[in-house]
Amino acid sequence: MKILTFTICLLLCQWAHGQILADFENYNIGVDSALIDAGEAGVFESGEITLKNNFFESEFGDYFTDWAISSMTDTLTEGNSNSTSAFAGSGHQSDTYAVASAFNPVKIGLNQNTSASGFSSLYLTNSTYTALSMLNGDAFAKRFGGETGEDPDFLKLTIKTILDGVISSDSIDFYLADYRFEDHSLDYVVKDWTFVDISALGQADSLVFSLSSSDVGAFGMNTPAFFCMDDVAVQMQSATFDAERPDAIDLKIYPNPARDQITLKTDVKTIRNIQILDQGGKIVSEINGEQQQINIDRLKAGVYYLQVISAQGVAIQKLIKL
Amino acid sequence: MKKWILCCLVSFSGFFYVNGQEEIIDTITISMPSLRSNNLGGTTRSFNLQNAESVAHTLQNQSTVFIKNYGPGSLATSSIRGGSAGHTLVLWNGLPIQNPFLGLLDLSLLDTWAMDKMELQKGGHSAMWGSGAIGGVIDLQQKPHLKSKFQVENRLAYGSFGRWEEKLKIGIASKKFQSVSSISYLTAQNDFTYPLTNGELRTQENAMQRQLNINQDFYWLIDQKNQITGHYWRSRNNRENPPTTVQRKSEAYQFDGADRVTLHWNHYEENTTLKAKAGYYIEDLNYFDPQQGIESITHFETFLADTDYEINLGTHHDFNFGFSHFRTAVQSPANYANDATEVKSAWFGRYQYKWFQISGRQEVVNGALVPFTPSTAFAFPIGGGISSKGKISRNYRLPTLNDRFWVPGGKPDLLPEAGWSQEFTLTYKKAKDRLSLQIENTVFNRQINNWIQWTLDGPFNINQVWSRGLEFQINTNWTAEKFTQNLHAGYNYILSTSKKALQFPKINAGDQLFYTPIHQGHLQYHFQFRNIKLSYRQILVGKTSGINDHLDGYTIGDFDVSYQTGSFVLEAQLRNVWNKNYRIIERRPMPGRNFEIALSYTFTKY
Repeated sequence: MKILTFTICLLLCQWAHGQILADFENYNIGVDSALIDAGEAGVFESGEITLKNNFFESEFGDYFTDWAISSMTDTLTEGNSNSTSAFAGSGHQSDTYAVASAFNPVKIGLNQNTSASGFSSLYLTNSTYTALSMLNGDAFAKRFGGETGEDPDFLKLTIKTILDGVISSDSIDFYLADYRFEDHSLDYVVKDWTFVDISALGQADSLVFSLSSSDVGAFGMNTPAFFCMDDVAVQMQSATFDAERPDAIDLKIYPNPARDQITLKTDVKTIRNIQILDQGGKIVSEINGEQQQINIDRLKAGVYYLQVISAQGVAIQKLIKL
Repeated sequence: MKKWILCCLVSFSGFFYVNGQEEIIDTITISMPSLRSNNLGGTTRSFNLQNAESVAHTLQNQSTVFIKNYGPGSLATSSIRGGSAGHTLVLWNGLPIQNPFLGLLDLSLLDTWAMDKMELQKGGHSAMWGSGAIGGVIDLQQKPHLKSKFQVENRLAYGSFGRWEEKLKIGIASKKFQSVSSISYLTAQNDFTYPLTNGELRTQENAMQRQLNINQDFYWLIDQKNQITGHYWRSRNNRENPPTTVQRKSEAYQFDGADRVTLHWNHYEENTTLKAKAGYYIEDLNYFDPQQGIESITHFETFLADTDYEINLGTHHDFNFGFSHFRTAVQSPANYANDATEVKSAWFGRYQYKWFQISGRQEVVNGALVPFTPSTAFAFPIGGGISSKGKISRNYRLPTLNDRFWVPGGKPDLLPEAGWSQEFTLTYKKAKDRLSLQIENTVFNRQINNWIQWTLDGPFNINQVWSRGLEFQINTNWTAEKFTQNLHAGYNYILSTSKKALQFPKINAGDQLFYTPIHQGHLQYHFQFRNIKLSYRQILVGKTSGINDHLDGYTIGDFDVSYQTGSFVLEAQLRNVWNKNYRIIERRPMPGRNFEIALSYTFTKY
């Protein structure tokens, strides 16, 4: 369903509340394969974004740094040979996604001549190699939690924007694994694709992603420096959007804040999917198909995001549950 | 299979016995220490390897050589005077057995059952032995020692963590011939329990080891001027690689195999000695990790030839020169793009006049000259029991084949590490009646340039390392009618620091090298009363820096007792007596208190 939705979305170049998705489905690589060589161009492109790729040939296995495109589904095999698999087992509701080899910071940029003004959101998860290393340890990297399970380990992805060559001081931290809770039953390694709202970072022409880990030695980070990304939503310049896309999604929620039930008001005719995500990007409720009224009484009080996915794109609104 | 091998060995020994001479006269020539092996100006210590567990264990417990031990049955390498593992050259009867692939030798694999003695010479010895002899030289020695026609030695040992040892040695001797056949088998589970930082106990897994060593040695005195010696050493080591303390499990395992054969010919004239040696080694190092999808199979073959001619030019003049050739070929399809070959030839010479000695060696490696390595040394008495000695030498180490050809990252054009070292020793000796005392104090200084440092992009000649320190040791013997006592104590203060700052690995200028303790000491007390022997050893290792974190210092004690009755010797060893929780390598646990008991039997027919 999602594949169809976003393929249509891209093919028709449809705009969603001023957003365009980069879902990497334009790379028709089938299932269980990885494209680690972008060729002479040295970049992958999807939607309005560009991802740099460095490819190295070796008789003992080619490898890459920065970005690769993958549809690998292996969630069980440990080791570097499985570095291009997403721990979620697929792309975000699709086959294809991007994988970063990020011992050094990696970037994504907006295409030249785009009318986009920044980045809205993206989905992130661990690579299988990294996740299993954090869960089990290996000869070089520690199992998170350490010997006793009590070490406050973490793998953090810091996202910053770049505008005209200047890196922002503001950043968004996303924890691909977090073992810093006093109650260790809450410790986690991200497995599912997780929504991350980065719209607060504002206008940008690039994003820079930096990994940092609590498991660091003289040779730098011991934790394998890979992560996976999908469905990068790019924010279009509103002036252009308003002028050229009069049919943009108009999404309203009321009441907001709400206690038990909310009502959606939108001009979208074919809603494919409605998701409510918590602040960490985790899907806490999902409704397939159209529904104007949604019961939220089971949700804990807090801030959520309501995401409407339609053939016309994606719309997101903040929702406060009382 | 083991029985079959044993039968073959017995038959082999028997063959020589039948064809040997009837009368046993202790006439097989044991050559005096050669000028080449004479460590004038340096410090030398010998270790009796009878019933020793391994080279690594002997050095760790009886010297201040720092052994980087990853745990029972696991990798163990040495650091002498702040050098790296590749800075210790290991010789077997005067021929190097260094692994050219790694540039070092795993000392835990060196079984000592067939060996008689180990000599440790600290300091630089590249002037005689070439590449790798920067920190020191370890020489495993075998000698024709039989005093009887026929001798059988057998040793059975059982220890903690499923450790079993079975050892057999059969020797035959005649007037001009000796043959010693040895077989040694060890198996251990190494499933010891160790405490975690929160006190919880965990059991080591995937740590099994099996070692089989077969040695055949013969010594043939052809006539009074010629002696031929042959050695064969077959070593098969299978072991599992246990997980780190922060690894849920490991399925990795490793095979180390070696077949080494050497032939030595000594020719004696009135004032000259010619020693010619040749060796051929076939070795394998195979590593598998199914979890990580790693299959690394490495095969290497090495040919060595070494000729050493010594001339006594007069009462105090000795001259020695020689030539050595070394060729090694490595196949490592999982790690190297192509087969790698290294060819080394060298000329060396040494002259000694009374208390003064000069030496030099020039090697040609793959057709290119490498640093000339001269050395000068002295040793003379001051008086009052005090003597002094010292040495200045240039030493070097070639990049290993891994440094040059490993994919990715290997750099074929790496330069050798090279530098000068100086050492000075004052010794005080006093003997009176049944009491003897020796105190030795050494200071040394060494700088190595072009130090090869692996970074994230492979190895580079990017560092300089300055090592300097103080070594102190005291040895006392007290012999009475019914007992003897020996006390040996040693202390090292060693700084071995980087002179340059690096980013990866993160090293600041002035940082002590990883896993190199500044303080190290040991104390050994030995007591013998009639047929009972008691030994207690305590070692002290100061804190070190690991790759990820600092490691606390530790002190552990071992206690041995043995009782001999007739041809039987019963031994018991208690290790880590005080049950200390310690680690030598971070994330690698070491066992607490553990034991081994052994029964030895020697049958002799004169």
